[in-house]
Amino acid sequence: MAKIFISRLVTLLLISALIVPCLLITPVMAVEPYPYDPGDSVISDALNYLRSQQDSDGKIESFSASAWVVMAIAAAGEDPNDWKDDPADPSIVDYLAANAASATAANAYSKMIMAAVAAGEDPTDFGGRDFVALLEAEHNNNQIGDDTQLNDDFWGVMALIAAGQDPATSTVIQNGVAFILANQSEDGGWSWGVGPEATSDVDDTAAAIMALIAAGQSPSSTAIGDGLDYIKGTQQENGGFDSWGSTNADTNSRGICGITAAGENPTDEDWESGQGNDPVDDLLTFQQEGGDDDGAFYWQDGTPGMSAAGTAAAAIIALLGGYFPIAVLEPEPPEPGVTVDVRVEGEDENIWNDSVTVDQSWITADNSDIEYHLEDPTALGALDEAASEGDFDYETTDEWGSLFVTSIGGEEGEGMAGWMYRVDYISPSVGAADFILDETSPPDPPHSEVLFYYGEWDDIPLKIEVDNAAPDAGDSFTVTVSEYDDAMAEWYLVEDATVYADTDYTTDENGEADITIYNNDTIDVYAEKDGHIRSNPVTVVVGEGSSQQSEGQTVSMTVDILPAISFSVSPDYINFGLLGPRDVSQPVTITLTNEGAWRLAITTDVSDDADNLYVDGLKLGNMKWNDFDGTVSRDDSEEYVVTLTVPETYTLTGNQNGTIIFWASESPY
Amino acid sequence: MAKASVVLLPIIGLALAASSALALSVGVAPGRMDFTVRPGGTEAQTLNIINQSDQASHFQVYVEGGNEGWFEITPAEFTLNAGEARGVEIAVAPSLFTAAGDRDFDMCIVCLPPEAELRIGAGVKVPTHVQVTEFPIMALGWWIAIAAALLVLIIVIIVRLIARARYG
Repeated sequence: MAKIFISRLVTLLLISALIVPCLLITPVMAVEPYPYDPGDSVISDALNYLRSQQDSDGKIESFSASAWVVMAIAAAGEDPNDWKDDPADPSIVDYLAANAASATAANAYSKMIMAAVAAGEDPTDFGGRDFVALLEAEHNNNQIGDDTQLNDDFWGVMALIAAGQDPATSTVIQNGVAFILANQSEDGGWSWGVGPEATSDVDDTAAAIMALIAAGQSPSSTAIGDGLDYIKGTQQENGGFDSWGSTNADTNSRGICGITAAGENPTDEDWESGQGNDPVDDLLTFQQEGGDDDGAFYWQDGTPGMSAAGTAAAAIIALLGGYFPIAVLEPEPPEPGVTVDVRVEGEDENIWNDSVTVDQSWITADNSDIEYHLEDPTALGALDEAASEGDFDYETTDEWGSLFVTSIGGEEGEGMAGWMYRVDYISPSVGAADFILDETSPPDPPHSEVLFYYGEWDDIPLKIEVDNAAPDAGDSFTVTVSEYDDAMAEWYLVEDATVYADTDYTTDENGEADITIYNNDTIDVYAEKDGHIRSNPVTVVVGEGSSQQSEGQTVSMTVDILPAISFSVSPDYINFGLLGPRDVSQPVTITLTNEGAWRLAITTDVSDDADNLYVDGLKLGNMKWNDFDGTVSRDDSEEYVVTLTVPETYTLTGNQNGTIIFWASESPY
Repeated sequence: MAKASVVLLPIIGLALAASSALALSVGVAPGRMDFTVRPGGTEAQTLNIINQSDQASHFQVYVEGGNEGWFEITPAEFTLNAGEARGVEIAVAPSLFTAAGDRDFDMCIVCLPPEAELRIGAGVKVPTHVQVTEFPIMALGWWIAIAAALLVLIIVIIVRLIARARYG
């Protein structure tokens, strides 16, 4: 009995020894749940708040806020296309698309791109607009948008990357990144604008960090490190980041996103204040509990701020551990194959001169009718592609064990003359069917030009270079003609070659011909010489180029024609609010904009089903509507103030409807 | 004394955020129309209408100035999406008995928002001039010739009938 008791006691002690330390340790191991999951109440409450703000047209708060909200919805793993006030209503994505015309500047284009991508839409065709092209068109002075601002560069770079553009090849992104880096402040941060007056702030510093990280900047780079140090330097004891003397939800959210983008955890010890608070702690203090705004994040304590929906969207993204761009389109894979220039010089004229992209080829030998599959991009494959694009014929033979070209464009070998080929002016050591572009050597890859030419074995192709392909009229430019000697592996200057430009020239002992053209013109300059193959052509544009069009050439013209009469009225309906008899409404401003070619005369008509409430009581300015007579000049706008007076004896109640029509016609004055 | 009751009129509508999203815009070309047509004839021209706003809008086209029956407008009502344009055929066909002369009309193109309350419409009035020409003399002569031929034919038939009745 005692044995059993002792055995059970030992077992109990052993179990206790295992469990008690776990219970003691658990509180110590408890960690802040950052990043939050979409199912956590912090996130779900914020999403529910946003849902409660959606209008029947799909909008949440405003056009601008709706774009941010779309990104937050996507960050939370939901489909923004499913966000509708009612299943029959348009979604928030539909709303953005329907109002795509409202985006009119670089930052708005960027936001639309990022929202469209986050929603799974095509940013090059969203709401009928190509926002990527619009944003790229904002590229000027080697930066994006306004060259006095940095903000549009941060978001522009992020948006183009979101659209799938490759920072390694996009000049716009590269220039944007260079502009951002060049304008980092001495304190390590970035400002909204540029110049000595610009002062760093957390919001823009975080945006700069996100843009640079998205563009491939290393988190360990000096620029990113200095930026993070700047953000850290603004941290307050409550854990949040200083913005004009206090912390707020928007700045905290942006700062957290910047930290996360740089690969750091904003709840780590490094991001705690002296009192042990981190930015996530402070951000959470702005979330509302209960009331109409349950789940919302206020900008500051008790102050919703300018955009409660935008603030909530930013907080959702930050608390989920997300950062911008929220979603990125995969760059289109490069076209398979090798792109190379192909030039075919016939005996008397050039047959083809353009670039082609070649991958694998199927070529049939004309003598045996056997089809050969060239699995690699070959020089012969390039000719095959050029023939296909240029609609000229060529023939091959496999009589000598490999494919050889016997004719091109109907020109067949005869006597000692036949078809040969060179790559980058050098005669390869293998046949064209075996020369793999960008791989076979000599010449060393990469390869730029494959030349097929008709001539004798010892004929050498000429090459010309022009020192100025865009001279002013009357300015001299020099053409240099040379040839490559395979035996000596050297380039030699060619004397007595004929250079064809506006007239014929002959090269001197230096292989040069000086040319002066006195009229604006566009000329293809090339050279020929006996025993040589016609050179490559170089296009020289003199002055403004061709001034006289020869017969058969066309000049394209375009013009945008305005409608004779066109104008807009904004807004398209008025809410006079709650009025009673004797009341005069608050004045409401209506803007008329002349969008047509003619100056407009404006008159009005008013009708109603409200016992003449509007017919009798509506005024434009100080005059009754039917006395109104206005004009709007071309490219101009006019504002008219409308008021409604409710007669003392008015008897109807409830919603009263009416219509005012602004009529435009050509002004006689 | 009866107390004057305080009656509040909630003339509701949406907030007046004068954003472009809430703008209506109508553009038309040409800005005036001139028709020359003879009585009984028809001349048709196209009036192009463009919705330059950023939202779909409903358009109506009608004519003012009397003799609206001369005009056939196709279509007279339609919806244009944002940025969309379409041509409306305006056909003028004065009756055969219309006196020659000049008449002026207004071709009215109006777009109205779908909402109720105090909605604000944008309309354009295109001055439309119709010149009704004299009935062409050649055509008149043709009609006289036909009438004369018919008259001769009728007279011949009557004479033959009378003759047959008299002489069996």
